[in-house]
Amino acid sequence: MNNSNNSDPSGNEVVVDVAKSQLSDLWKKEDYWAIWLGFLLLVFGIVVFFNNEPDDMQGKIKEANAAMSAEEARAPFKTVAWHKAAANKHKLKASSSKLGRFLSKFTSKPHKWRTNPLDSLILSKSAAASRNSKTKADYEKAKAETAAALTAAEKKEADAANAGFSDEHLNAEAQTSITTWLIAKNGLSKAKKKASVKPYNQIVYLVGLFFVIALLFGAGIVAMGDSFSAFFKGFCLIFLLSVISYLLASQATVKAYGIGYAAWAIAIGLLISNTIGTPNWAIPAVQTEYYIKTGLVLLGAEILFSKILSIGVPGIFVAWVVTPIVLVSTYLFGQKIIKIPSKTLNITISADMSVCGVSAAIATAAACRAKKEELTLSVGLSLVFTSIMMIVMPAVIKAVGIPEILGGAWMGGTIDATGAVAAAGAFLGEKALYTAATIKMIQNILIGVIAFCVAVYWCAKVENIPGQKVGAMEIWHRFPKFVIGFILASVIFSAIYASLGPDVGYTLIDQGVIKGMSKNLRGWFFCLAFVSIGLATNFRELREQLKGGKPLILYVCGQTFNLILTLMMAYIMFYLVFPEITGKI
Amino acid sequence: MTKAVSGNEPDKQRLHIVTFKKWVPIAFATCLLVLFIYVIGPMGLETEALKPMAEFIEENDINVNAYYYTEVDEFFEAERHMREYLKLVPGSR
Repeated sequence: MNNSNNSDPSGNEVVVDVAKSQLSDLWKKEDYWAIWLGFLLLVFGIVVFFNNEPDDMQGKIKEANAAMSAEEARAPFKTVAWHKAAANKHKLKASSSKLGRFLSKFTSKPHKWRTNPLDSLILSKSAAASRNSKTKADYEKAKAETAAALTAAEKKEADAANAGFSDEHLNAEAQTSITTWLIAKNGLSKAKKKASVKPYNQIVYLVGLFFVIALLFGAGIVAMGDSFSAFFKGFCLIFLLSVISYLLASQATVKAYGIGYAAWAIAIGLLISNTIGTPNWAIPAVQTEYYIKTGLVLLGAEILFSKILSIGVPGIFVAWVVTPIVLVSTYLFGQKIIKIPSKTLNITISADMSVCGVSAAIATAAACRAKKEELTLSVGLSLVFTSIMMIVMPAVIKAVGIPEILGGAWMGGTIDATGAVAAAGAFLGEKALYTAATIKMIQNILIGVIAFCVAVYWCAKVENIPGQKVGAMEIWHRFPKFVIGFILASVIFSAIYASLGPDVGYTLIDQGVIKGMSKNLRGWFFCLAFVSIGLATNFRELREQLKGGKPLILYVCGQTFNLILTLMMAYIMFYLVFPEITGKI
Repeated sequence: MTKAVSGNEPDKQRLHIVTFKKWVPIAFATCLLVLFIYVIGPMGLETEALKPMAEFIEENDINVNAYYYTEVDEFFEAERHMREYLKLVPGSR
């Protein structure tokens, strides 16, 4: 984009805005266009999913809650009927409506594949039937096992009930049987998923998605005074490379190594720009900031503050006390001890490492106007260490004999990538997964606060000439405006979620607007941004950032501190201060 | 028969060579990628260190590449579990 606001004094492309404001900024600046586009999509999502709620949603939730309350009053443990009622409630999803399913498919990334890349785009009826027939036996077996486990659980529960739930031994036996049934039920649902594969043709949807995204961003391009046709031509390449990045990330082996679309998008872009060169006709669509900022506004809707309090006080301490301490300490360590020349690189790596990897790096880099190579480097470091920590941490925890909950809290607070936390936590055990996931979720929610604080700090302190004092208006002029959209989306969606309550919120927002549409589009926008970063980056610029290995030293030292502090805080909170909560998990 | 040689033919040839050279890294990277996906990657996943985790991820279909909690089903499961078991906020349900 021909934005005068996209260069720092040294001529490098940065995520930037100029320090003056005028009314025409509302339609001439990409920051505002990111807000308009993001909110247009979110409002569309709300209209679609709120008007397509599951049949008799309120009645079913009320019925399930009444049944659960009755069971809680009847027995000292969660009974079979309690779990059945809970499952009925959680089945309610706005994304399961006809329109919801269509939107979900329309915005979906390519499917998983093993040997033939085309499998990720097209699956014929016969191929789907063949896959299903292969897994049908496993499904039938899981079905029989679940039925047997349910019968056993119901019998044990009846025995406990006959004793008036006053026999501790019978109660414990019933609980064990119910847990066994739940595990079997979980296995059944996974087997069912594998045995009910439906045919698809993602190419049709991808073509449609291409036009929709091109038109959305194109509208902003025209308003900002650039040529739509030039943008559209270039966008063909950017979108194609994004599809290829997603396709590579969907390969089974690649997935197991945890190499996501961001890494592929940057690698493909870098390879092209540093060999045959980015074609001139594609350059008008290399709009890194525009895509990132729009994706971040959509991400704002996923930052639901109302969720925090309901998921555990010890986790809140671990995530909200340790994370800011590690973030600030790592930043200061980088500035004072190892003297990293670029403050933006320093804060981006610090946020990436202490908060939650790629998504935190994107938000922080955009908020402090980091250079694209700095974001690339942070993302690269995070991906490498995440893959290592995902394998090593569960092994160390098991070898040393650290309790499951403590281990889960440790991994949730330290492994960068969210998906890797789920894998490592689940690998260690159910309790570890629950603890790790909730801590990582609270950290995820921290992104909004951190991006806002970094943006304010940068405007008020970092970008000043030494000794200069800036007033509120100057801060406003300098402030990256898309952050307002990002925070506003978070506040509005948090308020809606809180007013709906967790059950309706889960059905209409978590499993509606977000799952059915916004998270998929946000993924595509980030992918377009990473392709653009790769296409606009020179290896030499990237090498420059690695000089002296300072970023690596910063990451390793910061992560070591993070590991020590998180383990200490998790032990104090889960075992010394709130042992009764730990006992309930 | 004598072939007519235009004055800028060596330049054209040089251009072809330069263009060809530019494509070599892309071809090499593609070969490496194919090698990783079909040979080296699967071999690595068979090693003692990686096999248990790789099998676990495959079996449970966990989205390891997710960058945010809304992309992972296990996070919703964990949230529900914590909320329903702890019930820290009165009237949260």
